[in-house]
Formats: sequence, structure tokens, C-alpha cells
Amino acid sequence: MYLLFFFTYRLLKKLRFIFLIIVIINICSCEKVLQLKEPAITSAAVFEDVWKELDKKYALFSVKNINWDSVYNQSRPQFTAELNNNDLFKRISNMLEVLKDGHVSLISPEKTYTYDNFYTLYLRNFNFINIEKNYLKNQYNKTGPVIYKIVDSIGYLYYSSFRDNISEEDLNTIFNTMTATKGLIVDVRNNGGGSLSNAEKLFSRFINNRKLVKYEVIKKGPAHNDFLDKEAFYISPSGNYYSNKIVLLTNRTCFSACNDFVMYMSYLPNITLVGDQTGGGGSVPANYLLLNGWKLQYSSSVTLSPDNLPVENGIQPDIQIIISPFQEANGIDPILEKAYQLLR
Amino acid sequence: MICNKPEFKVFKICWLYFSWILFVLIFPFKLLCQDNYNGQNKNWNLSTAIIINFCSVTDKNFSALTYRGSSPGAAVALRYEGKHAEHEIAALYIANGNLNTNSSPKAKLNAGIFNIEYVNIYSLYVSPNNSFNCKAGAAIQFLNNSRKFNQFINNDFSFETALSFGAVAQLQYALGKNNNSIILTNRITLPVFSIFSQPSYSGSSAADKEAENGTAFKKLFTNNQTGSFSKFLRVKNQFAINKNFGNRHGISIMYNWEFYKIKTARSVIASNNQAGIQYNYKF
Repeated sequence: MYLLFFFTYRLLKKLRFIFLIIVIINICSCEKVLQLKEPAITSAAVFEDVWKELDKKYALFSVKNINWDSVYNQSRPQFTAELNNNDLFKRISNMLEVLKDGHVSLISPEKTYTYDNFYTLYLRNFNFINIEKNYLKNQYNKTGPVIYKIVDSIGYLYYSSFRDNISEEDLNTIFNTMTATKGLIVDVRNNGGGSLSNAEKLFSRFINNRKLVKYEVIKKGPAHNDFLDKEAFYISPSGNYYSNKIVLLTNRTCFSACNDFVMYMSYLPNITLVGDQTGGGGSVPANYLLLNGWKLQYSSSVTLSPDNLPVENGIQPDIQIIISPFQEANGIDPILEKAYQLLR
Repeated sequence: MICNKPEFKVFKICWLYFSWILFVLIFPFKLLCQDNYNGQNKNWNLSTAIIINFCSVTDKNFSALTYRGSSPGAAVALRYEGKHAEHEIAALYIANGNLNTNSSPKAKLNAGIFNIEYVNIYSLYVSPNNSFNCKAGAAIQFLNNSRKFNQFINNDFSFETALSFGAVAQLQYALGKNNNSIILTNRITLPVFSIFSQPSYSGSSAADKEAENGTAFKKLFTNNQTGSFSKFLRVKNQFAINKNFGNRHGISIMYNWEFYKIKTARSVIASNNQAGIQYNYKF
């Protein structure tokens, strides 16, 4: 015990020299001792960064039944040599194509890749110029982002993008006009999504009590099936309630927030969905900055309908109608005409 | 084995908390009272400082890239020095500042820091001529660092809030023998056990959204976990050169360095280099 005290005392006496060493380390900046190292930015490192981030965070591998490891094995040999930015972008985009997900994007300062086959492989089923000219006769109201008109006591409401914000005042103005109608056509064709709060504001005019609209399942860990318990989402009514018949027009370009809106609406008792299947994209997009400064966007959650069904691949209409190229060329919109017919 | 039983684990956690309360709160309080009772040399010291913070952070939730930048801040500390023990409560606030990365000039990470710590240290050794002393003790540290990424949607917010219990060692060296001599002080703090919270893995749950707008205290109770060095490693080194002017006033040049590493699914590595000027007032 005496020896212990003796050596401790001797050590403490020597501490003044240790003190000087600490001061020197301080002056040289301690960060250099435990420096945060930047990883090397090579083509292979960027590929690994993309693959690993999606492996850990992408939520739809199970829903889409994708073997991501085999994608790695197939793609990795393409990134052994150093590539120029164009080739690197092209090869990573090709790999991302496997996911068939409109929420997956690769954004470089020069280019953007987004999966778009969910609507480009199908007929457009929408031509606003035809509607404007032949059905609205170039005369309609516009409040906020919404175009609307009443013809023969049937209301027509067109919301082109949920990226364009709508206010409660805008909706009051629109729905005060629509109160007198016997039915309402809500056209969300070519609405590629945007802010979910705009979709929710519009939906809140079609309900008179709080409604369960969806479940969201988010990841809790890096494994492909590591999910938290599903979280329920409700929407409460707001402003004037529209209780008459509604026909909702959809097509394949109806994506993301619009897909959610269609899902919410499809559970109303007074609604008929007419047109083509929606484009899907019922997940929350998230982002990641790659080593070379490009941005990666991906789906970070799974959205389930109130019946617990995934809506990632879109929502089927009640009445499927296609606009043929001939009809479109002649200015005819059979989807809109069917809606009038249902409400007349 | 009894050690693996859940009841024993609860006992271990309770004992850990109790021992820290005993060590960090009750024992120093006893010494404080003892100092006052004995009428020993004692003094109170109030310090304020202006600081410039140079931050480097790699938040794997946003990117594998390191963001760097600087922002101003301020610190305030109240210190009591008795014969047996020294107590200090200090707060540090670094204003939100934009951090950048070389790979993407437009990508900005807006980061802010708020720290509070309580330190109590005991004298281990004083040199015969009083020029050198060595102290050691314990600290409770509260840290709240938040970050917001300008180009992201949904997963654009991240934070670490931590309550740590750790060890402190301080060395002090006086260059000269009178009261107005220059004093060099170096203190190292190393948390041993921490309760810390981060957003959930995806960062987009309802609790995360609540935490984003909530207070630091509320964040600590959101999605929290406990850990030691392997999960939550933090080292803080504080160096100051102090010059007293008379019995009451003093000016210090300070340089703090802090490194922390959180090794969870949301991995974060950060270092802060803080340089500042501090005014000390004894009363």
C-alpha cells in the first residue's frame, strides 16, 4: 500500500511534464489526432454508397419482391474501372431501374433520373387542351391552383398538382360555389403529387367525421424487413362539407400524394372512380447525399390502405375507360363524358 | 446465473443511478458544507465567454460526407473553489450555422449546439510551491446538437440529445508565484455512461416530428437508449490561459476541443474546435 502511494506521488510530480505535452497537442489541434477522414471518391465508392444506402433504408424490397444482393452482384463489375460522370450516372440509373419506383431519383447538377415507366408505357388518358376547348368552352373559374366550373348543375374541379398550395379560404370559395350542384367531378389526372397537406385539405371537404385514411409503416433498422408497428393516420373534416355524389377521374400519372388522395377518396360511400389505374407511389420519399455530391431519393416507408393493403402499385378505378389516340385527336374525353353520364 | 436475470439487471441499473447520485451530488454537497463550516479559503467565480466554433460533422443519415463550418457562440460558467472540492456549472450555446461539404456546394447543413455541464473535482496533488496542481472528479453533461439539411424533404432533421455521467481530470500550472501570474489549465472530460436519444431510424415517425419542434428535454425522452464508450464516445478537452488583474478580474484565452461518436444505426461523428475569450469575475 505504501508503495502504491509512493508511486502515485511520483507520478503526480511527473504530471507537469505530461501537462506540457497536452498543451502541445492542443496547439497542434486535437482534431488531427482523431481526424474525420473523407472517403475517397471513386466510381466504385459512389456505387457502394448508393447500394448500401438503399440496402439499409429502402422500404419496398419486400413489397416489390426484389433481391437487392443479386442486383449488387450483377452491377458491381461495371464499376471496377474509373468512369466519367456521364457513364457513372448512366450505370447507376440502370441499376436503379430495377426498383421500378417513381420515388427513386438520382440527381446530379446536370441530369436527373427518375423512373417514369409507370405512366410512359401507357396511354395518357388526359388532354387538358381538349377539356378546356370542348367541355369548359374556355370559360372557367380559377381559385388558387384549382380550375372549376358548373355545367348543368354538375360541378367540375381540376387540381393539376399538389405541389401548388391551396388555402382554406380558396377551398371555402370553391365549395361555396359547389354547394348548389347535384354532383361533382373531381379531376386529378396528371397530378404527379406534391405536398400531402394539400391533398388532405381537399379531402377534408368530403367528410363529415374523423376518418382513418391510411397506415404508414416505417423502417426501424437496416434489415429489409425491420419495420416499426404501423402508424394510423386520421383526417378531420374542415369547412363546408360536400355530401352529394362524386366522380373522381384518375390516370397513370396520378402519383404519390395524388395516389394517397385517390385512396382516401375511394373509401367514401358516395364516390365512383373513373379512368385508368393510378401510378402508385404510396410511400414517403427520403433523401441522401452521395459521396460525389449527387442526390439520391428513395422510398422510406410503406403505405397501407385502411384495409391493410399496400397501394404502392396504384389503385384500380371502379370503371376503367381508356382514351384512344383517335378520340384524343378528335378532342373527345370519354372519361369525362362517363362522369357526366353518372351524375346526370 | 443470477447476473443474467432481469431483476438483477434492474438492480444493477438502480445501483448505477444511486451511486452516481451519491458520488456527483451528495458527496460534493457534503464537502461544500464542510468547506463553509470550516471557513476555509473559498471563492466564487463567474465567467462569460464569446466563442467561435469550428464544427466538422459526418451524419450518416444524410451522407457519408463530412460537413464543415463555423458559427459564433457564448458560454457562461459559475465556479466555486473550496479547499476540498471545486464545483462548476457551465452552459454553452453555439448559434445555428451553415456547414458545407466540398462535393456539393449547394448542400448546406444547418447545425446548432447547446451544452450544460456540472463538474465537481477534488484536489489530488498540489506541488509544494503551489505552482502546480492536479484535480479529478466527475461530471454530468447534457448535450443537445441539432441539424437540418437544406435540400432534403421528410428526413431533413436530425439531433443528438444526451445526458452523460463521466470522469474529469484537470491539471493547472501557474507561471509565476504571485496572484496575477499566468495560469494554464487543462481539463479533460470523458463520459462513462450516457442516456442519449436520436430520431428513429427513418426519422419520419410521428414522434420524430414532435421531437423536431420540442424542447431538448423532451427530445431526451424520445426514442432514447443507454450506452457507454462503444455506443456513445465523447471526449472534451478544455484548455485556458488565464491572467488575473487584481483580486477580482481575470481574462482567459480558451481553446476547447470536443469529439464525439455515436455508433448506432444512425451513426454520427463530430468534432468541435472552439476558440474564445473569457472574462472571469471573482466574488
